[in-house]
Amino acid sequence: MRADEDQKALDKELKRWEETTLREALKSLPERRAEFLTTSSRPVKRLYTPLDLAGKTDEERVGKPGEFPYTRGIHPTMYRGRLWTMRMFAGFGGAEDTNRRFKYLSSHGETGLSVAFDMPTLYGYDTDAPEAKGEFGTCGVAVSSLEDMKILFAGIDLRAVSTSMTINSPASAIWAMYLAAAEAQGAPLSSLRGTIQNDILKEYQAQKEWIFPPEPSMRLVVDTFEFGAKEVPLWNTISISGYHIREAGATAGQELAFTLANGMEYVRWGIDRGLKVDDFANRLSFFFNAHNDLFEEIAKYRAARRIWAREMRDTFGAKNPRSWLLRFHAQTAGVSLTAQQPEVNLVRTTVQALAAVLGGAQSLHTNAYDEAYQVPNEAAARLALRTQQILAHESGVPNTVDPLGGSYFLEALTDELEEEAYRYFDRIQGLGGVIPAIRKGFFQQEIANSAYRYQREIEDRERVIVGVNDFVVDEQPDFEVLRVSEASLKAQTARLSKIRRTRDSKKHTAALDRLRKACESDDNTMPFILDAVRAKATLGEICDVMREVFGAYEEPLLY
Amino acid sequence: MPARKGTAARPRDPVPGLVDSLLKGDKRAAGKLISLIEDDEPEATEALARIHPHTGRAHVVGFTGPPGVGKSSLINRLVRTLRGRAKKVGVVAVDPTSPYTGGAVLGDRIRMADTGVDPGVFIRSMATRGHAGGLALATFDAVRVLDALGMDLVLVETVGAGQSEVEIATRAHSTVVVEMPMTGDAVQTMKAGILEIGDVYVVNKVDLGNADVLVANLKFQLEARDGWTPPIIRTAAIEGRGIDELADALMRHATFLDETGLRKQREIARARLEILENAQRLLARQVEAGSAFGKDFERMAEDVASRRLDPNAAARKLLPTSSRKPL
Amino acid sequence: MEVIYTGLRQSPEDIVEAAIQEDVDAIGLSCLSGAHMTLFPEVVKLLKKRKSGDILVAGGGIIPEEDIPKLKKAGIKVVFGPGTPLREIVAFFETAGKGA
Ligand code: B12
Ligand SMILES: Nc1nc2c(ncn2[C@@H]2O[C@H](COP(=O)(O)OP(=O)(O)O)[C@@H](O)[C@H]2O)c(=O)[nH]1
Ligand SMILES: [Mg+2]
Repeated sequence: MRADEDQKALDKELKRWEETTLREALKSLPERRAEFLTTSSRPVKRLYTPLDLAGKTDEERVGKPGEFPYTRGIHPTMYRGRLWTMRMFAGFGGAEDTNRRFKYLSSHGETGLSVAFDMPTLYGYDTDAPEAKGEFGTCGVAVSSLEDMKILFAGIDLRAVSTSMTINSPASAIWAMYLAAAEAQGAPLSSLRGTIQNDILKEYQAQKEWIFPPEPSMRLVVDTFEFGAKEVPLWNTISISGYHIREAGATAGQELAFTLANGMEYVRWGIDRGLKVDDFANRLSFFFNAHNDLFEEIAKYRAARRIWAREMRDTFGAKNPRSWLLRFHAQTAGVSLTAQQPEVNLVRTTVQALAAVLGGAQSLHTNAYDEAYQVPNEAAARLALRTQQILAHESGVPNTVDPLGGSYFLEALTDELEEEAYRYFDRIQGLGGVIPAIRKGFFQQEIANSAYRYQREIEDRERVIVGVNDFVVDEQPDFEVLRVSEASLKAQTARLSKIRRTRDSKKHTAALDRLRKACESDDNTMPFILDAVRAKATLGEICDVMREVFGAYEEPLLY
Repeated sequence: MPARKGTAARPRDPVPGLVDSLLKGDKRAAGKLISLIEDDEPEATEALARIHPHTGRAHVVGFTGPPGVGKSSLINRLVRTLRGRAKKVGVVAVDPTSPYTGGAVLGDRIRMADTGVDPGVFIRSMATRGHAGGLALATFDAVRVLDALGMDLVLVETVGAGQSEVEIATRAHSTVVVEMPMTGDAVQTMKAGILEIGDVYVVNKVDLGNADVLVANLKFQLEARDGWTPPIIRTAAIEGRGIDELADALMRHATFLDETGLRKQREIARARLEILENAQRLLARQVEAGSAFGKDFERMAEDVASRRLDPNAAARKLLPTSSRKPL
Repeated sequence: MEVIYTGLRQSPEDIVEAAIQEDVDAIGLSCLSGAHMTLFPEVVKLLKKRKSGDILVAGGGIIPEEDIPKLKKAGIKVVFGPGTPLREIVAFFETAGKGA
């Protein structure tokens, strides 16, 4: 009753303001446009008040940091206890080149490693495969063998760092190489910390780096869950990624909804395997985009934490609060960065990184200003890292937990995004679940529609992009072009052919045969992949075995 | 992402040379000849006349069924299987032209990417370009080119809508009707006429389950025609299941046509259609080129609209004098 | 205009074969991975080998300014780098189609 009366009073007060102060103001200065939209084309009201938050109590909606539903953050102290991990996505050329870049970034204050692989590696081909022609090291580092992996981390103590690896279809093989390289350093598996992306569902939806059809791919993912829970307990065996979905053109709401729907699909598969939800849920991690629209992005992260906590606790029955936590890495939006006036990208990235920090990210990559031209050169990568350091040490933002919590606008936006996500969950379920919806092209179509709308808004100049459709200057940017050296390619192919020549071929063939049998059976493939890696099987050889057994995926067509 | 077509002003090669190259198995010549036909260039008539004596070897198989049922995927698999049996295979895949832009994005080829570089395979995409039936006007002339190129089989994929299924059945030696099981509670309804045209029925996507009802349904409704009972083949194109059986069924049907003399009958029936069609086309051209077309035409249109003249009488006035009798 | 979409991850051989069978006026190649210096010239080379050097080849993607003259010398008619306005690209294909 009491609350009801409060509402009425508030409502009356707002009406009064609208009819007096506001009306006067609009008379002398009309607003700039009829409708104000977020980056995701979501309408934003002129003013938000407590009236927008009616329906739920503060405790249900927001709560306290470190407590269910974790809207305000997963830790009670957030960045007062520990800053986010500054993790710069890096990789180019051969293992030696990237090893040098890792050391360079670490020497400038980076606090976690993140490996970008080259295209052949991402698709499960060795550097000397015909499919790899021209692609060596241009988009990331080439890793074809255990030997490469050892060189990549030479002089880096794998017990002491946490390493994230952006690898999907061939994730289990690459992970096995990392584990074997750590073993060779004398690091016990139980001490290793890091993440493999290993998120195959978003490949069919957005990134398109699949190799096999969905079902065997999901089986490989669950194999890593099971193996990791037993053998590498500190490792995040998946990073469920909205980043790529967003970069392909999705809205914030779609990014949120599709990522969490995928997350729940992995949980279902894990449970179907016979795993207990609390045995693997705490090793699921997330990866979100940090786009231009400051508040919409912050709201997205907060909604994500709340939905995940609720679904894990109430739908999947997880008992351990650690299973309820949505921990995430963020990367600023590469797709927002322009070829025109590239320095301006530094400013965009700063605003985006601020959103990630205000949204409670556990780790962050900031893009370099030469994003539209090449993988970053050294100087550009350092500047990007400096952006994070300024937020951490100069801006004052990390001094308090969830500084924007309680903002009428932000809380209302958080609720709105949450509702949008649930509407999508219903639609996905109506299509028979995530994988049937992929086969029907549902996600792909939704993303394409949003991308098209956004592009139209820019072409029609309804949306201003600085330097692209307004504030244009005519100048050619000029910076140092990063080139992969011919020598790196030679070294890499020489290394590969030596491995093929000198390894114990009986052992090698036997290990691959055992792997084939494991793939054909229901056995967990991880131990067999690890054995094959130890027997010096290359990435391409391991993936070829899987290609033979699992076949290839054909994507549904959209027009 | 190759783009094409129509407005190009690339120098055109003389027809006799192109046809000679075609007969020697030159794919580039085949590609160019099909373009001439597709764009309805004046040289097309000469080209087709030169090609005609060298056709009649290929067994032509039409594929019909609703969009998304898996025709392209099946054809891709079938091409591979037929290649395994040392057959040369041509494919003509028809996609709808957008009624809005007049352009088209032709995507069937993606499903057939596996077989693209095989020298014994030739795949050509075509847009319907406004042809009401959905089957590109030029489709069967393109089939002739592939026949003359030396293909043992030519597979034609229709858009699977409108009149195309009936049309395909009158042109192909064998017609394959592709269906798929419905999922959920939806009631499966068969499109009218579909039961009369197929020589082979395929139930695709059996991997998704629910196929038994559809198969039973088909079995119950299908009847033997001219001594041939259409077989029902279960396939999962996506996994390559059932493709061997489909290839066998097609080979059996080809043999059946030969042994019963039905092939000859079908060829003659088709020839009738084609003669008539050509006559229609020629007449239409004459009419368009005729002097009455233009100012007179406009006047007649007004007369018809204001009921001073009936359309049939007006049409007769457009014809060459010798054919102006009422029909 | 009709566009034959061949799908992702096509090898130069696939592309040339499709272009010949479809008798296209132009091939548009997109490469964002940095492999353009290998893959684009390879397409031109294969076209010539198949006596189809008259088919126009255009390219785009993440291509450094300094590579463009080299690509043109290798027979790529036109190259559009990052940030090219869409209408510039459309205009090119429209005039190319008219044989300009
Ligand atoms: C969005 C994006 C993604 C998304 C793609 C989502 C999707 N499905 O669309 C995601 C997140 C999945 C992604 C992943 C990766 N990406 Co990425 N990505 C981008 C980004 C930010 C934008 C690309 C884009 O779509 N631009 C919009 C289009 C319209 O522009 P465009 O392609 O440049 O095309 C224009 C011109 O080039 C030209 N053009 C292009 N093609 C053609 C063709 C013809 C015929 C013509 C006429 C013109 C033309 O016209 C267009 C209009 O101006 C760029 C950086 C940037 N800001 O440009 C990086 C970028 C392309 N990515 C890069 C990399 C390295 C990757 C990864 C390999 C990372 C990794 N190691 O895991 C993966 C690989 C994914 C894969 N398997 O292909 C690098 C490539 C580096 C290089 N070549 O040196 C870039 C440049 C970023 C960087 N600086 O590091 N990426
Ligand atoms: N599950 C399943 N999907 C299939 C099968 N055959 C084709 N598809 C899918 O159905 C969609 C349409 O296939 P396509 O061959 O393009 O159909 P078309 O329009 O009839 O040519 C694609 O997404 C295919 O991958 C099959 O046997 N099983
Ligand atoms: Mg099709």
